[in-house]
Amino acid sequence: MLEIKNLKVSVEGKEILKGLNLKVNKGEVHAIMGPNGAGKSTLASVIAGKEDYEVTGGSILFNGKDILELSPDERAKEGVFLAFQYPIEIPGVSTINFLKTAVNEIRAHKGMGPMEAKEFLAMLKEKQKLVQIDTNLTGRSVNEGFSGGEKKRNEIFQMAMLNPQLAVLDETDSGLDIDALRIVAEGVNKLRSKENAFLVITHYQRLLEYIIPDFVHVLYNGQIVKSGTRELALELESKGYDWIKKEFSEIPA
Amino acid sequence: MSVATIKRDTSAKWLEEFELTAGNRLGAANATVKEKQQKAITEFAEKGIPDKKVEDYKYTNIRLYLNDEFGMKGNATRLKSSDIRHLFLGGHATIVMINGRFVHELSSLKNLPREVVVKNLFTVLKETDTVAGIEFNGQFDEKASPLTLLNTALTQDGISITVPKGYDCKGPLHLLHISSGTDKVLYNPRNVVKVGEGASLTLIESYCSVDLDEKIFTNSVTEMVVEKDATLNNYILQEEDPKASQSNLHQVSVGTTGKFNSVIVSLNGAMVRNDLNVSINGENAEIHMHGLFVVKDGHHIDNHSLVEHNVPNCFSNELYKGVVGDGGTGVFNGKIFVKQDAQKTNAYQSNKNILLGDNSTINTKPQLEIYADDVKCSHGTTTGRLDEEALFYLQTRGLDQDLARKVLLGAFAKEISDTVKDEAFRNHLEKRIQVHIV
Amino acid sequence: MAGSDKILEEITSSEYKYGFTSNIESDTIPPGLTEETIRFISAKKEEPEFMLEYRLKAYRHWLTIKEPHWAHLKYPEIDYQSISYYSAPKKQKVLNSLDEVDPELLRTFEKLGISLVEQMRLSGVAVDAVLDSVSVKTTFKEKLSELGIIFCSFSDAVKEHPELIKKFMGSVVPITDNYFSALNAAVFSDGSFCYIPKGVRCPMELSTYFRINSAGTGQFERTLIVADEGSYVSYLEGCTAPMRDENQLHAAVVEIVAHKDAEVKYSTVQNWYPGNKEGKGGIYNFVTKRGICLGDNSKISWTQVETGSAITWKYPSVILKGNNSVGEFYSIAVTNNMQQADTGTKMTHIGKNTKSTIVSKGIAAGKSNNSYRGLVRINKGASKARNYSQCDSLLMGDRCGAHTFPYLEINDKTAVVEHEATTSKIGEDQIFYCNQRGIDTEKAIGLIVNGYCREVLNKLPMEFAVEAQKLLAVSLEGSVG
Ligand SMILES: Nc1ncnc2c1ncn2[C@@H]1O[C@H](COP(=O)(O)OP(=O)(O)O)[C@@H](O)[C@H]1O
Ligand SMILES: [Mg+2]
Repeated sequence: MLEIKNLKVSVEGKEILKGLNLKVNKGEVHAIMGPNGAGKSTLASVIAGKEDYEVTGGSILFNGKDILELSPDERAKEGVFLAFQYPIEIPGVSTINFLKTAVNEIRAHKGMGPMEAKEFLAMLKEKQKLVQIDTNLTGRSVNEGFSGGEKKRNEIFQMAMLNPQLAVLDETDSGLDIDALRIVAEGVNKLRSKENAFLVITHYQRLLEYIIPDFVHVLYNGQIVKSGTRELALELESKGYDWIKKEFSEIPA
Repeated sequence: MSVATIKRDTSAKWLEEFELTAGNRLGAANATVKEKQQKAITEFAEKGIPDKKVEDYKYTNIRLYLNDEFGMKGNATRLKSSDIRHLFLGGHATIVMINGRFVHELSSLKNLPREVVVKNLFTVLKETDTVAGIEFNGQFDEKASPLTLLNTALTQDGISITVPKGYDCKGPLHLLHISSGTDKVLYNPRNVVKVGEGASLTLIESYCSVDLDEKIFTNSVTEMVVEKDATLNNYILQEEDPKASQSNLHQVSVGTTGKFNSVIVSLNGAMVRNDLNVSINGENAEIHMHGLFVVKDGHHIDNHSLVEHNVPNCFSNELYKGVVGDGGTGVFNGKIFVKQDAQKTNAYQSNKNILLGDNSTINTKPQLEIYADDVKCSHGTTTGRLDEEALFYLQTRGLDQDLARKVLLGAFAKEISDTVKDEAFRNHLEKRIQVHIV
Repeated sequence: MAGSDKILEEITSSEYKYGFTSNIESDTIPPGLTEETIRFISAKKEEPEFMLEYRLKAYRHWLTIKEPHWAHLKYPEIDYQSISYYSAPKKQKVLNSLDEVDPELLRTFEKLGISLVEQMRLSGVAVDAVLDSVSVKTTFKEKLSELGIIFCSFSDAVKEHPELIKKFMGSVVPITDNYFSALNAAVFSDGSFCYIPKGVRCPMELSTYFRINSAGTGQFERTLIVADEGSYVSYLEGCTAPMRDENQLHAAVVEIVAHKDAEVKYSTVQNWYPGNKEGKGGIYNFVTKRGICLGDNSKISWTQVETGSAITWKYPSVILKGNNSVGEFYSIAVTNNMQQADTGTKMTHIGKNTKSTIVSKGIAAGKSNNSYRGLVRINKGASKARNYSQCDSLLMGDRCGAHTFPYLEINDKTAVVEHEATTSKIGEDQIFYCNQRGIDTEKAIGLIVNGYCREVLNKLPMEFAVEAQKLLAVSLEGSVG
């Protein structure tokens, strides 16, 4: 479904991703781990199409289509979802109105008419339950005045509403207490299917106890330096990142 | 902006003085200056002394404080060193200015570094056309206020201070301005301060009166240039006699990565009008402006400021606080101007006032004029009473009401005095604020 | 970023959607203004003597004063002699039912989105439509009169309720107030009058639609609303004008009197023709709107959505005279292309415990200039007065300007006054966030702008809020939103 080949990305002239390769198939969950500043959020942003990042080489194929040519909203309509590490506040725009617009835009892209109000409300209720988000939050303006944890949960709620093919979760676990973490993970697990895939970016293996990944990759210094299974996450947890840093620090910039 | 309909007769007196003082004015030192004075008096004649009809003087009618009864000649009071010693601060190099003129023999220059050049403006302009490269009146154009024009036209002398390129002047320089005398006089001191590339200076200005027996009006203009990578800390304390009025304009140009930190504390005087105009002309410059005014007893303090963001990527922050006691009138007028090219400007302004008395007035006018889109600008102003809950809280802790008020007002003022980095001056400021604030 | 550049380009090429002209024959007098003109207008309207005197007094005062130029506006000199001061649709007989209204005129209203037929049948909104300067039809008159509510054209009020007109006309905006209000007092041709009797809560929104139609005419309408003790009314005003190359002058006056315990809500959606992309044509809108909270506990609330006009000069104000009275001003002002707006409010606190709230949202795009100008004055003796003001500006594009000129004059130590203002552009990260959810940039900007204006939109009556949102979209269109 997602195929990233030799991806090179710079921001403000500084190369952040230095030839990254990654392949994600339908039905898989991949975890990406790595120390601060490794380029994890950069990867997530580039997949979503943020403009500040300059792709200087390589390609990203999504369902065989080169999505680097697509605008961010076109990618979203194709089924790419990003749960932001730092979700944005949009004052005055209610989450419901925001999601209604998003749902209908994505439907229009698929040649479907706007959703009936009743159907939409039913879906809203169902998904609210799924991620156990307070109805009072969805009535408020998008992320405005939400706590860190509430914002993260709202990201997962939006993911549930938009039902993407590929969901990239950028450190959705940070800032969540243990209960919230479990709820978020359960939400993700319920949404897992043969048809979709997840890219879970995290620092800690804690989340991976709840969302069992098929593959674990270590991103360091702009490249995937190690790939493995769950055990790799455990190994990282016990050893820290220092051994990775030592082993791969001489990668030429 | 507004249509000024000022009667010409407020300028006639000064046109006369212009003729009478020809031999003593700064123009006598230098032909170019002479021309500029001529031009300025002509322009001034069009405008006259401003009153409330002029938008910039909407809340401060200068005609109430300066009229035809004033002259330009005063009997010089003979002040002795012992009369003013108590006004010196710590071991700071001190330049004594009496009624706008540098008095060498009363000054204390032993701690003045050799690199820092302090001279009469007259002396400097007699020898060269510029003050270390700074053209006299070079920063003013058609925007010059009537009082600036009047100063340019009539000024006789002032001080020039220059810090050469790369020189980090460690100890502060104290400019002690003293008003004194027995005649109704208008003084027009003119000063120039230049901090050269990469240099730094802390300039303290204190204004006070000694043996002042008659009303006076000081119309001061100071041109300041902060060059590339330079830093200027300018701390001002105004505490003149209630017979004295002053209009005090600082026109500041700041270059690339330059830093300008201004603190103005106004505590006394019949009328104080400050104009702090900062023109940012180099990228990545950083400006901090703090002010405190305490006004009561029929006195009037007006703080005008203008920050012009002419270039991108600069930062300015302004905080002015006012405490208005019984019978006092305070004015705050701050303007942030962002030119079309000045993208990525961050400019903030805040004004907080406390009204204490039955006849207290505050007029405040924060303005934003913005022509660039990628900016973050804001202003805020609040006016109210002392926090009653805090007062009550302190009383429950055993402080009587007066003391509680004093404590709260002290805390309100401290935010401003704390921004002064020089300890000797900061301590002095805090003491003086305590005297006036209750 | 490239996306928003494109959008800005599109905005600047958006078209005015209300710019059709109606072919109603109108009865227009030649341009020019003299005492004769005024006598003509007054005679034409069969006015009582006191009105003529009032007009002449205003005219003579007007001759002695100068046009004000303190606002942050630039426009060529207005030639007051080149304007025609009277234009009435010809078939202006007394109309008894909608069937008698010129069908062309009805179509005009339909195009404006206010079908009178619909209004009468469905909505329960009483409409007084003012085309050019003459009031054409007041719907629901009978139903309102059962409650003792008077809602009619100003001309009718002059004839039928002269005592009320004499008492209140000019009581809030005297003829000496300013240049444009003096001109209005001299030449106004019609407008609306509304009186709500003691204790009556007006059961429906009252509404006036203004439209300038004839070329070369000025429009000078006058509205007077008097809310007697304990009454309530919500009043809506909508405006449109056809596209014309020359500038047309609109100088209206609105006066509101709120007695003890009365409340008046006045909402405006102003969409006069703003001129074309190069700034040719468009309405010069110089309007004086003021209300007085005369009695204790009274309340006047202004809500405005200003998207049109080449020039907007407008400061809906409240004089808070009664104790505990409340004044509100909620405003959205959008300027695009070459438009210029200088708008805001004046809140004058005289009574004790008076409260005022100001929320202003300015949006500048294209090469426009958008200024907020406001005055909050707390008089000595207005003890415990409170004011809160929030003025935000949003800039879209680097050729426009957003300015804030608040004046705060506080003369009582018990007052609490707070003012905040911000200027910024739409956050690119907000746009990206929307994009990531499948919403394209144009729609994203629309969402964000509407969100930014939410506080004000929420103050509008339902039907109006929907219209206003659409209008925001259209004004920033191609579009933003
Ligand atoms: N917009 C940006 N401008 C400048 N540097 C950036 C920007 N975004 C990311 N970087 C830099 O790129 C590197 C990788 O950042 P990021 O992808 O956020 O790391 P991670 O998410 O793995 O902690 C860091 O050194 C960071 O400072
Ligand atoms: Mg990150």
